[in-house]
Amino acid sequence: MPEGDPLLKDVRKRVLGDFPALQEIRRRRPLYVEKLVKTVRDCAEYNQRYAAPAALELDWRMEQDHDYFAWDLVKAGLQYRFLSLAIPGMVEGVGGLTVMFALAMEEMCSTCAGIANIFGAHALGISPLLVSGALAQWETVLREVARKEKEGEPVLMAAAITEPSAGTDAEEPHFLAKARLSMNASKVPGGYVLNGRKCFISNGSVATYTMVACALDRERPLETWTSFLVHRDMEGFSVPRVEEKMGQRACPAAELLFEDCFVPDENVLGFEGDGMQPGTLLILAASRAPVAAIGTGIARGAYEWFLRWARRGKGGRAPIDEQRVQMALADMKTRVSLARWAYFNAALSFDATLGKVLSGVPMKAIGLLPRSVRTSEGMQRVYLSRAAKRGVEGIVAAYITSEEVTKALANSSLAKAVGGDTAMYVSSMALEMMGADQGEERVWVEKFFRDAKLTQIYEGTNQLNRLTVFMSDVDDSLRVELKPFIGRGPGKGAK
Amino acid sequence: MELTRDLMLDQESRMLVRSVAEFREQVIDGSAREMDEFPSSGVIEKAWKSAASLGLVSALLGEGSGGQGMDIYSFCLALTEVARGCAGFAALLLVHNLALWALEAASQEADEALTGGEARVTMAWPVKEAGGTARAEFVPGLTGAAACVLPLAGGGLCRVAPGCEGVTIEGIEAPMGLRASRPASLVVESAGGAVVGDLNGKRDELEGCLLLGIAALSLGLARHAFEGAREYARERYQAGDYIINHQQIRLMLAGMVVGIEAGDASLRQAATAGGCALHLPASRAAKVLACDRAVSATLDGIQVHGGYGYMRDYGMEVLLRDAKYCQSYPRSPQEEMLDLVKPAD
Repeated sequence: MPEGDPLLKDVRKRVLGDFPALQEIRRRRPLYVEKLVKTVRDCAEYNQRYAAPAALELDWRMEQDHDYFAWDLVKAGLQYRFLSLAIPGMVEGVGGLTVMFALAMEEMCSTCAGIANIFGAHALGISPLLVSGALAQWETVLREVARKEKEGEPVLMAAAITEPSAGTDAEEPHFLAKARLSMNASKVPGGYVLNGRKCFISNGSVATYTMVACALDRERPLETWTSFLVHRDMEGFSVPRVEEKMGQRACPAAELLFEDCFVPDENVLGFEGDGMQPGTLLILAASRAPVAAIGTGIARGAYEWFLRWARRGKGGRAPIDEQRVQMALADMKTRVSLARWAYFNAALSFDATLGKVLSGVPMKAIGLLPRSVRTSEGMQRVYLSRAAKRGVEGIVAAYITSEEVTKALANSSLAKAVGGDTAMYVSSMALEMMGADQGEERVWVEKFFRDAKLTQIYEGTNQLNRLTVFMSDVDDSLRVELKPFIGRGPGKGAK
Repeated sequence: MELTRDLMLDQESRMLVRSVAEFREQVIDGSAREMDEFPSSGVIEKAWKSAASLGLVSALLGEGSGGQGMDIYSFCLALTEVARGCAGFAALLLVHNLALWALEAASQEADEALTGGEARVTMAWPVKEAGGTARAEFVPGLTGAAACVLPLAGGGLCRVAPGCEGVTIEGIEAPMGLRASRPASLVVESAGGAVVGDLNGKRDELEGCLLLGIAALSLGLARHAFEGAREYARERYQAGDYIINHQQIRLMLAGMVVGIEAGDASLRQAATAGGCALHLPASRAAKVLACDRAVSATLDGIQVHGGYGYMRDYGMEVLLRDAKYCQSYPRSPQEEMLDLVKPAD
């Protein structure tokens, strides 16, 4: 980055203006805030150089050929380390937490949510490894992602939770207990055999590694919901179909098929039965704020293109001279700001939990071990041992409380519903106001409108997000259950 | 559950709706996706011929001119039924019929090719005039049309053919909605020279009919969204029950019913009020209401379907794309509403 980088200056001014809370944080943690600003700056540059020139044509191309995937745009993101943003520093990642990723998502989605979601879905695929404290996979898989990124080779990840008959059900413990599932895993010597289908999996057709959550016993899905790490080359794994979507086309949504797919024991993330409680709930507490930022970014993009339209008069008076347009712009701006503050607050509250764990003494101590030790086969065996896994769970439970992380889940769910609704409202209002006017502005706003609808559906529908707010923050019927080191059963502690 | 409009139909209207429904089921439903994705594949022309055999391409034209002489409300009933299958195709029928009606109003003899289904005509609305040049941003049916009529502000009716000198047609690449109508932008230089007659004071009526027609399209989309969502909600099991048994889903479906009922009533009132000057404000109100409710219904239709609603295979997302275009064509709802309440002098 050149000295006196004007883009950095512009972005710093904008970010500090858009997030007033960062000004206070900056006084205490200037380097942290500067790292956030630098990340947003990189996203802005990526938008200018790569995403904006490609977005419309790519959207059009993928409508015709939905199997196409823009690897060139992924490779262009490697120089900015977009694939490592969420990977801990101890395994060569950037070490950004939810706030950083959410800011990145808003910036990228203000140009193209489809392209941005390739990186977003990748981070979602990383999150199960983070929240389960799967140190063995940190050293192997996450280090591989970060290292190959530096070498110019993208390794993508994905998370597979939704099943054809279970969308909402797979994201909420009370519902999962009653779900009619079609996929399951069976224990066999040395590992598990997976059978069934997952659907609508973002990055599913292009990911090297996919976290797959499914039940061991479909009659007791909540108690046996377990997370597995599946490599695309594993026998029995295939991608029979890539969906044709209304929007966010650059990021493929795929159906995944598992036919007697053998997954070794060491690819279980955490313990059997931890997949939903706390696994999926921790993932959602982490991921819904960045998804809220996706909605916010789409809304911002629609607003910015609408503003361009409003300022462009086709001879005579420009639309912005009309009071109705001025009021609409003010309304849009207000809603974008409120959505932004909601996701920022949610991301802060999650980082206050996971951040404490990552900056805690035990994790720092592990990080201080020489890399040769941490990556040794012996250490891998230690990481994969039951005692080590329970130790990691114990560290998590010692540093954060169920109340804190449940509150983070409520905040992120609230923010996600607000972000999705804001994306729809702003893009819809913009199109409505533009009437039948054609032109470049309209083409962009139409794309934002199509992209926006998905933000009300994925990562739990907005209806489920609201139910989560009710259950976790109003009647206390939903808690994220952390597993203390002492006092839990032998790996089947889901409630 | 039967919607009030359907209960109130007289025998003749009931037969009309039934025959158009049969046409939709046999010709449109199976081709709707192709019409949306590949409108230039020939699928439109094939359906057009079938529509002509049913009299739908000359529905509004007087019987003396070789048409069906259908009243605007009956025509709207037919459009709603077609739009349940494909709103873009219904939009083609609408602008074609209005163009023929306008030509008739301007004392132009009907062209047999146009009334018989061999060729299509369309209508540009609104037309922006400046320095003798007429311009229309979004003209449904312009691509592939044999002719286009432009009602000018002063009451004159201009008729142009693609390819003629001074006529520029710019295709709209991949519009989000109403794709089957194959829209394009139009610029006509020296439009005054192409005037073929005068609308004889029927310009307001023409505009009212256009607005009611779009309202009818929107209601067709809303009906499709409601029926699809209700059917899916009865089959989809989630959270321990069929989702139609969840209050939130029922409220979404009920909201669609409220919107359709209100839209139907408003359309019927405006279309049967009679008298051009009287019904234009009612037509504006009906159009704004129906389109707003259709956008809402189609959004909820997708939401009830969850991830499936967002995928093209399930036929829900196209309803939203079309409804959104209906909402802002021919003008934004705010512009329609501002014409309902005039400023003080």
